[in-house]
Amino acid sequence: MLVENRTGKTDKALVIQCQRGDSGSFQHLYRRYQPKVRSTLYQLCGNNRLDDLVQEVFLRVWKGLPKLRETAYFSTWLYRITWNVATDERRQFAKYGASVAEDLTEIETRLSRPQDSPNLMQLHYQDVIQRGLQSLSLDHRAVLVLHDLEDLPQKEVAEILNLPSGTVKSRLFYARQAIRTFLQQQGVHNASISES
Amino acid sequence: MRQSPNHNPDKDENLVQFLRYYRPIAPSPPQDLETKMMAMIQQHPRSSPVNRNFWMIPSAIAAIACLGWGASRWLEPTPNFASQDTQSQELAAFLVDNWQKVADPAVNLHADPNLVNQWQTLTHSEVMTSPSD
Repeated sequence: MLVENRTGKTDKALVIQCQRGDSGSFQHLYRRYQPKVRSTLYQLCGNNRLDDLVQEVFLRVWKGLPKLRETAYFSTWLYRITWNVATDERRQFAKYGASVAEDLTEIETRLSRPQDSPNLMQLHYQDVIQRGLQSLSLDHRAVLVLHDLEDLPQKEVAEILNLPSGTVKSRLFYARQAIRTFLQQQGVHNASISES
Repeated sequence: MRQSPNHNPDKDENLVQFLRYYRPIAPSPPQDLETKMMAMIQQHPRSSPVNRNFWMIPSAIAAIACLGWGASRWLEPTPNFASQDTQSQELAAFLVDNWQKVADPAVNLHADPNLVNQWQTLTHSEVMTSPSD
């Protein structure tokens, strides 16, 4: 769990300095984890309010850091906060009846931006996977995103989602089955999957 | 967990590779997002652990003092005369001697001259006041 990069400091060292009120160390943590948090939130909640959600996660981190005892498990704790923010967002989303069409419009907008458009086939598959993820329940999507896309071990996923390991394994199985079926329905065949 | 009979780990591996390769990429954050974030946390200052430790010191001292007082009370030996023969003999002798002094006024008065004086003063005043009654 100890991550060290260009700053030359481990998560633990930075967290301890943050706990003493050092905002500079917090900035290092932000730069280190912002892409992962952003990516996870994007897979879970889409593009709608993405910047606000990222800010919400890091604000909760800043407020909660003094209470963090297991400083070595900062990344697990951070992912748990990310998951909490995502579930709160989905709850709000359901409450106020925001439409899926809004998300699809955002996907289309994103696809139309030239800087994010390496080639048409890639864009097509990205779009299909995005819609495939949206078709899963949030519980199944979370397991798939954290384990298969963010490459976290099942044990850590279980800790983040506060679930038994068996439940994570089971949800992962059904989530993969569901997205495979969705991909096939969208015309993505096993051959394409094997070629990636 | 029960898995279906046609569950194939290789198939899963291919699917995961596919998902990772074509995963939707989150749009880049705005340039000023980090600046906004840092400004936001400045609006939420929080007490450092040093301050918390500062308040913990007097609490710890008070707790230790209470603990010490409780321990001293608990460990304090209770008087137990009957358990030792010499002490019980001394106690018996003290009681006998004390009762003897109470029962024998001469011994008692002789032992304390002040009491004799007080007694005489009291009896004289009664004699002086009684004829007038």
